Amino acid sequence: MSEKFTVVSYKKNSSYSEQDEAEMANLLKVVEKFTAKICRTFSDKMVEATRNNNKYVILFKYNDDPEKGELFNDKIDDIPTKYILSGAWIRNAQRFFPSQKCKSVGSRILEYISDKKFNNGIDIVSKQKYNVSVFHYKNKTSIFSNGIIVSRDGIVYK
Amino acid sequence: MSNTKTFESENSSLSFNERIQLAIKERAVIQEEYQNNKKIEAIDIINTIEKFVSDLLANDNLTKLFIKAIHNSNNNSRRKVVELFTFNAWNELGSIYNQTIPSVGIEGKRYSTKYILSGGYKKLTDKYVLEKSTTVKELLEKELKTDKYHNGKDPETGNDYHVCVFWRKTGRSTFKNGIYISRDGIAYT
Repeated sequence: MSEKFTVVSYKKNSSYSEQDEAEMANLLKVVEKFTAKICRTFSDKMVEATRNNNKYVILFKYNDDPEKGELFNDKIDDIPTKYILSGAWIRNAQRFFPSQKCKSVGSRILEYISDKKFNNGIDIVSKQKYNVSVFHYKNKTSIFSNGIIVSRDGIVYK
Repeated sequence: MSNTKTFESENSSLSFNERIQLAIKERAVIQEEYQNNKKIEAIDIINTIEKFVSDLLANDNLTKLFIKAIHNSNNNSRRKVVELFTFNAWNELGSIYNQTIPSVGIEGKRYSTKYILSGGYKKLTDKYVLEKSTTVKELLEKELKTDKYHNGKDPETGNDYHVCVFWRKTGRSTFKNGIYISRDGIAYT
C-alpha cells in the first residue's frame, strides 16, 4: 500500500458566502419591516373584532396561486410571501446571525402582542390567550385564506 | 356623504385597554340594534306570509278553484290537484313571474318567493316571534281544516286535502314551483 496520499483542501467560496449573508441580512430587514407594519394594525383590528364579536382577527392575507383567484400580496419587497411566512429562511439565516434575530414572523407577532400594553396577550373579553396562526399553503380542508390570524377564543387554528 | 358610523373606540390616542372597554360597550349597543332589526324583520315576514295566504284565499278563490277542478276533471283520472299559486325565479326555466312577494310593513322591500315558500326564514322567526312563527303550508292547512272547506276532506273523493309546496325543480319534477292542493289523498313532494 502506498504511503503517499494527497490532501485535497477546499477553499471556502467567500464571495458566495458574503452574497448569501447579504441576502439574509436583507431578508431579515424585510421580515422586521413587514412584522412592524403588521403589528401597527393590531390594536385597531382587535378593537374592531371586539366590537363585532369576531372570534379572530385577520392581520394579513395573500394569494400567490393563480388557480385560487387573483394574486395579491404574493411578494413582500420582491421576496415571495410564502418564503417569509413559512420560515424556510430561518435555518439559512442562523448560519450568519444569532438565533434571537432569526425568529419567525409568527413568533415576532406573538411577542409583540404578549406585551403588557395588550393585557399580556390575554383577550380581555374571552380571558383566553391570543394565538397567532400563520397559513402559507392551502389544501382541500383549509378554512382560512393564506396569511396571518390572531385568535381570541383560545383556539390555535391550524 | 358617507354613512360610515364612527365609534369612540376608534380613538387611537386611548390605551388599548380603554379602547377594548369602549368596544365592549359599543358591541352591546350594536347587538341590541341588530336584535331589534331582526325582530322587526321577523314580524314583517310573518305579516307578509299571513297577507300572502289571505290574498290567495280572498274572494272565495280556493272554492272557485275546487269547483273548476271538479268541472274539468275526468272521473277516471287518478291525479286530482288544484293549482293555487305558481312562480318561476329562474331564467333557464322560462320567463320569470311571481319571483318576489312584497313586504307588508317595509316599504320597497320584497322577499324572494322561494324564501317564503321554503320556510327559509323559520330559524329567524322561531328565534324572534316563536308564538307566531309559521309557514305558508301550515297556514293553508289550518284554513283547509275549517268547516268552510269541509274540515279538510274533499267532498268528491273523500280524501284529505294535502298542501304541496314546491320551490325547486329537478329533472324529475312534475309540478311547477308553487302551491298545490291535492284532492286525491296523495301528498305530492
